[in-house]
Amino acid sequence: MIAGLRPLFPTPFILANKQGRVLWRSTGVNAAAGLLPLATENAFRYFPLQTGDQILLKDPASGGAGDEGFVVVTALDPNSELAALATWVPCPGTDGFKAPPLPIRLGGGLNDQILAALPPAAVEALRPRLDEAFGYARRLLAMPSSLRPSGKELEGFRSQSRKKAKALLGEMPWGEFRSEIALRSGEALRLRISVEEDGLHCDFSGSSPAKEFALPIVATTGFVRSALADFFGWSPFSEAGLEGLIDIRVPTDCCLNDAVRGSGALSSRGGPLLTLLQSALSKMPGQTQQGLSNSCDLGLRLRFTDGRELEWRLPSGAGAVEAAENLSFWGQRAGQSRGSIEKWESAAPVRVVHFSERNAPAGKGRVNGARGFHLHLILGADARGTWADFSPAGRPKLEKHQGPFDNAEILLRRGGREEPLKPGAHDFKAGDELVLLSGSGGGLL
Amino acid sequence: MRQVIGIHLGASFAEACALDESALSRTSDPAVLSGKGKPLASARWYLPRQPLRTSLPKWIAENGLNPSALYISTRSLERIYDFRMGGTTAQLVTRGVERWPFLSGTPIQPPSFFRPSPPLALSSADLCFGVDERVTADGEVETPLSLESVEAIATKLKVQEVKKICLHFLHAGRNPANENAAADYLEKQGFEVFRPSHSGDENADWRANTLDASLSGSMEELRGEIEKAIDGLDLQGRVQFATGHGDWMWDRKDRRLSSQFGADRLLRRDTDTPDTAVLDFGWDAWRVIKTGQPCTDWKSPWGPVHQPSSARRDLFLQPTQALRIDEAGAVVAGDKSETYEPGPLWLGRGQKPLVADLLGEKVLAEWAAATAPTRVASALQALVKSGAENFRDAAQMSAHLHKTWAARLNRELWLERDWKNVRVRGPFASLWWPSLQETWKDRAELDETTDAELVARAGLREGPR
Repeated sequence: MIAGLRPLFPTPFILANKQGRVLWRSTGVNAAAGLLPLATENAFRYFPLQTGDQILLKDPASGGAGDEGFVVVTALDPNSELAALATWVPCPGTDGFKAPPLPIRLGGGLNDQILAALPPAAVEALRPRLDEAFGYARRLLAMPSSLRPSGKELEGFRSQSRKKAKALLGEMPWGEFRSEIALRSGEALRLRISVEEDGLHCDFSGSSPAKEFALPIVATTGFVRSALADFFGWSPFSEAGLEGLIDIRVPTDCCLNDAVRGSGALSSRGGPLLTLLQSALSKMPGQTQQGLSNSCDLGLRLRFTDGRELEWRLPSGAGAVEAAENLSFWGQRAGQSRGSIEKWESAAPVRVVHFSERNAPAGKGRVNGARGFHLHLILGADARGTWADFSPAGRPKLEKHQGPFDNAEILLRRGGREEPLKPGAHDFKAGDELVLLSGSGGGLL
Repeated sequence: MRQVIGIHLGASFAEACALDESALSRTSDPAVLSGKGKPLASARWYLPRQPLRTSLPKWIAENGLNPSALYISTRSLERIYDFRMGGTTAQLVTRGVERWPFLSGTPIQPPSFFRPSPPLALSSADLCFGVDERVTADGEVETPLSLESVEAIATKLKVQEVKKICLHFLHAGRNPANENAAADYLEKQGFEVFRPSHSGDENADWRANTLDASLSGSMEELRGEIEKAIDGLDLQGRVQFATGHGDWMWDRKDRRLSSQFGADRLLRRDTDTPDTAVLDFGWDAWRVIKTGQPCTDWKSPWGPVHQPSSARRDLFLQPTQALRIDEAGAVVAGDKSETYEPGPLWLGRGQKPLVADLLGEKVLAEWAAATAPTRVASALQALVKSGAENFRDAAQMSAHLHKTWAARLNRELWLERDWKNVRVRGPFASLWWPSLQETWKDRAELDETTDAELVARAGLREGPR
């Protein structure tokens, strides 16, 4: 019954009580699974919210979206289990924007002063989502009593999902499963997953402090929770009951718990964490054999001398799945199917020479992993480019049935010579050629 | 008085309706009030048992009809979307993007990050060829078309007996010189050439063009079936499909995909108030169509496709979903919509009980097989026994699920947006009307017009004669 309450939003959302306890979470693997509950709790802590009031959160330390946009918390019925709708809204041009939680709508009207302080492109992205969520709150309040979920119904949902969640954990094999990977940027990530009588524990002790790769703990827990739900196929119904049964321990001095350095673009930083998680989870007995996914996207931003910008985020290929040859990056990144050569070439001085899947699959074997992208560009003007890369250095320790995956690469062709580019910032000249190769997934041997 | 027939062709069912010009009168017209504006005759057929080629002429003869035109809306090609497309369609693409990644297709909602499934193929990679040509974003011809490379490909395709070719050249919308040259040559060689529209996003344009080409075989079969059905009637050259573009066509190759959106356009046109939710409980699919919101892109199984369509979404419940027991022991509708092939138990086909079996007895009764009541009863009883909800019998289970689904439907619709009106239609509308009426009061309207009547009426009003 509660499924009828889901808003039909395209971006991640939760329905929760004012302590941030989740009643329903949209599916998908993302940092938002951790950000949104914290944002909800903080919004109610800082503001006496009434139905329809909305709070914008930017700082991940308080549950905000970091560089990529905002979290919007909309108050529904503050004194019920259905107290808030929190959603993640990507907003271009808001990276570097710092702000405490902002009351964008109190008592019905939007705060124009706050909107005026944001870049126009961000307001364009934000306003429809604010209106959608506000409309949802208003309609929920006006819902005929015959349709409105009663407190008893919501409590019944919680207790049923709790029972189901316990049963799911009870079916898991007890034991300890470890994995570790080193990143090109110098950090080491370590994970010990243990399944015990009282629940599932994820312990990141031993992971190193941040150099270039960092995530705030709230994003780390979001990736872990949503990845576990996806890996085990938990439905939102059973997931709502898992709170308190999944324990995530992240030491304060490690890169997965660094609120200062980890406050940038969060969604692109989940890659190595997801690879680490899949590596540990695939050691559990009874799991379907699968190649290891290279979950790190290739992200390149070019800023030309005339101020025009282009940004690519090319997804990597998924790990091979039994009886599913010809997987592609689409298997995991369906939302990123909008890239258009005509648009890129019209928006900035670039010419695309080649665009396809990479030639060779990485994890050759009985079943190949999915290939990444191959994008070859010629720059028509000088530009400064930034490549943020957090791919694993070398290969993580693989299971017997797993073949290796390929990491992302960028090759620079200049003056008849070709050389691999190092991650970081670079100055490019007109006529430079860049070959972008996103990672390929590992195979099944 | 001019008389026409409207036909709506779904994947498994068809509806027909005969009208004459009195049907165009407004409801205040005394002629309509006296019954003259009503359909002259109507029919519905379950196509696997009652194919159009025999059912249509028989119905026309039995009702003494003398139509001057046949107008068709169809969604019948939707059933082939699940299969591999483009097996015999070649693509000539600007060299460098012949392994165009977006042609591989993409599930809109991947089932799982860690358990991905292969994408739907929209075209055959073996029939994708790079051609030496290039137009820049400014419309300058940087590399003129190499006719030699086109000739070599054409020779190869003739050997392979490929007859359809899509031309997908970058920035051809800015300067079509290379596209024109290739099309001229290939058409002279006897190929059927498909050229995309140019909206500025080649992915959406090329997908639409590929689909037009890929659907041509199925469209020919459909037209063949209709031609057989009208054989002997004086209707040759007077049969037209409604399209999503707002025009009518019989054999336009750039409107094959568009023909699948004709029924939605007619609904949109027939609904006066914007912000009306049309709940279409059709034979094959249950959808909400947002009449005030025309779309330029269709969210297809392969990604966005440039195509005039309506904002629509499938409802959470579909008539062909199989019933199953979920993780909590409750009887629920499965995640995936099956098809009517082999069909619900009521039609004497299939093995699994579907939503249509649980709720659709009255709707499907006219085609019910003799053994159907027993088969349906035992399948539903098996669900009662396997579930953990302690239903007394199948009737109680059915009533419970019907009530639960109606509440969910109402909640979803209520929370989706501020609908001014809710229009409920389709052969299964009667199942949901009481509950929708209770929630939406005088903002709800039960529309008993069939899709066939809608297309007949539109044909009378605006269709080519």
